[in-house]
Amino acid sequence: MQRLAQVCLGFCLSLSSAISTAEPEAVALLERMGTAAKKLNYDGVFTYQMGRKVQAIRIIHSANENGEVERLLSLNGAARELIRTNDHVTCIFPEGKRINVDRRPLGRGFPSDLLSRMSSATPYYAITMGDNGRVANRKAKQLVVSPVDDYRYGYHLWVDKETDLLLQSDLLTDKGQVLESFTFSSINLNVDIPELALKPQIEGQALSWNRNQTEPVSQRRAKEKGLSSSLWQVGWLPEGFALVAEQSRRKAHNDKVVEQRVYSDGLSSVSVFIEQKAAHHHLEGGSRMGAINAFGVMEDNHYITAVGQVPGHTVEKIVRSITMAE
Amino acid sequence: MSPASRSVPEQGMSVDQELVQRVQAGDKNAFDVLIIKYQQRIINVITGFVHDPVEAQDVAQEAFVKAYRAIPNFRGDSAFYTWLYRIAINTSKNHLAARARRPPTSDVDAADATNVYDAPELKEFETPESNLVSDELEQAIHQAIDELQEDTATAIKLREFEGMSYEEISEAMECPIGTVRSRIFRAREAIEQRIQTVMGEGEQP
Amino acid sequence: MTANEEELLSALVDGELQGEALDSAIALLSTNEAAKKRFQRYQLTSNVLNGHAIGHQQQDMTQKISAVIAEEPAHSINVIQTNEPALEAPQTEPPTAEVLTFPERFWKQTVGLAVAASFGALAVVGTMTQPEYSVMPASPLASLAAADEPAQTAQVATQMPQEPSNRWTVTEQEIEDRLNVYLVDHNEYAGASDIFSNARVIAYESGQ
Repeated sequence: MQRLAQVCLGFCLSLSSAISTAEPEAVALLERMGTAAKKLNYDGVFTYQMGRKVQAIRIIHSANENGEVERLLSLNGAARELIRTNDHVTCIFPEGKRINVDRRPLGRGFPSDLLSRMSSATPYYAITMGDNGRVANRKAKQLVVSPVDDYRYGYHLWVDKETDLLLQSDLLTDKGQVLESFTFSSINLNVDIPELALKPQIEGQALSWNRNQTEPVSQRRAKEKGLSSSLWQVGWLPEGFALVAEQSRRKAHNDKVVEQRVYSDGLSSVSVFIEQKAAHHHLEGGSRMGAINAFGVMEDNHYITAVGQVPGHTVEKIVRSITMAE
Repeated sequence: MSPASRSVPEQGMSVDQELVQRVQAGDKNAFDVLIIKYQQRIINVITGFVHDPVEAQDVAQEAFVKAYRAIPNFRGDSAFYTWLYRIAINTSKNHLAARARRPPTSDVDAADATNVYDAPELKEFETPESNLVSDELEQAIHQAIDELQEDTATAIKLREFEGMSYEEISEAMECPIGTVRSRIFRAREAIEQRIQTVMGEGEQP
Repeated sequence: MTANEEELLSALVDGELQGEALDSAIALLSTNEAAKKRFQRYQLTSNVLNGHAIGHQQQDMTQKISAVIAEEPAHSINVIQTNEPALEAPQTEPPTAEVLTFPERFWKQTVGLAVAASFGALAVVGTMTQPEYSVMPASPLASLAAADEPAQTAQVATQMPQEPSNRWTVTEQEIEDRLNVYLVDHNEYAGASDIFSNARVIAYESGQ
């Protein structure tokens, strides 16, 4: 984005709320989209695409007065299932494979969370209506989520015209390159979901956990656990990014403590990892995997790395601004 | 868990805070606890700058003494270890700077006379012998844990690998906090038995 | 030393003592040499388990340090020594939203299996495998108006290979593994509030 255009845009945004960055119609649609995912019954297949990898996944979702039940199963590659009932998530892996994605909570499932994140992110993203189109042989309306600068990615969303369900989500660079895409290829809506359809079919190790209702931890307690949380200062972040979570974790039993800080503008997020150097090789410079970029340096006996679904120059700029406080 | 089984009061001041307060009030013995707790980690940090193990230990001692002197000014804005860590870094850098200013002798390697952190591979300074002892010790500890009864093993793992507090462990394991404490103690006792045979009596620190 | 006293020391290693119990422990350590040694052993074990023990160089520095400190005037809580520079906390970071610190109480697991699976080395999600079939991202919106940009032909200006790749663009396995670990940790938060987050769990496959 041209510097001048950026300044103008920023100026316009701050000048008046009448020049809204979020069209009311678009926001309303976003809200309905969030509810639809929770309240409807549907059974469909979508593909998750990042780079050249394509993963086909079937999703079956049922909702009634007791809440939601959702089952996801992989259709290609390793058989894998995930079942979510309200707050409880169970992930099943084929026998013998020691894959532990994580026994910690992974989140609120399908797109229902987008709205709450969007509302805090609105100043930094413009949400507008796009064109009409078709996804999974259904009529869809496009929602365009454009970031105010090129430090973050944007989205194109397609929402089912009839039911407001999210049918496609593309993550885009400012030049329009699609880095990641979730797309329904077929879907049955407003169908009855028999109970059998929600029961796991594969055998394997099961990992279960409850989603986190995180309690805010007292700041003092947090500092005790964050070993060097005040040792390092992040000098620069994209506008609107704030610290939203942090933790220190011991890695494999031989490894050191790694400190993680998560910064987010509500929609995009970056994690900064700081760990003491050990006799290993570490990333110095940039790397990427599809939509995810990383940048690492070594400073004062520590490895400092930032990882996130933001452009490469964003993580680089963040990392280069990190210094040890004297 | 019923509130009655919680033995930790609401405000939850950490043990480090409590120890610091005692030191600030004149209790030098309380400082010993902090030394024992953090000396290994501080030496590790300093070794990154000051490579020679003996020299590193000298610097570590200097850092602890500095911390003791400055502790009346410690306000608790950060964790004690964070504060101590910064003192260790500063002491290391000052030490390197001072060493650089000394006139070089034939004993001093020119490359050492620098106050820029040089990022050595730590392996360079682990003698094969000390590596061996450390591996043996580590293995013994893990073996001891493997042989523990499940509840005891779970308790020590949640404590050491996951860094959970007794209260958190009691929730996860659905047992009283007192039980957590005694399980962890039992685990440590069992580990102690095992490492005594590995280390032999004479090698105890 | 009684078993109770030993258990006290164990609790001290975990920082789970306060008030009178803490006083007792401090007194015990200062008067009983065996207790001090025991405490140090507990601490050594903890250090080893946490990866803090590099080589078996566990020397006790309390003797030497105490000797120096014994010469110092005792502190008193009412006196602030003004000749020592105050070690302030650094400038605050950018304004924080409500800061979450985890892990806290957050999981109830099916006992045994799941618990066993979570200890020890953090099993990484693993690198993405080569796709079984490769499809150019095709727009399903064939009927979309021409106003839309040609999504796949534009290129991102970085020094990296310009096609989005499904593996980290690094040359060493070790670096790749560590980045994957970071990614899992990042997704724990970011993935948590992303669209299709559960789908990512399904989609990642082990490189094994």
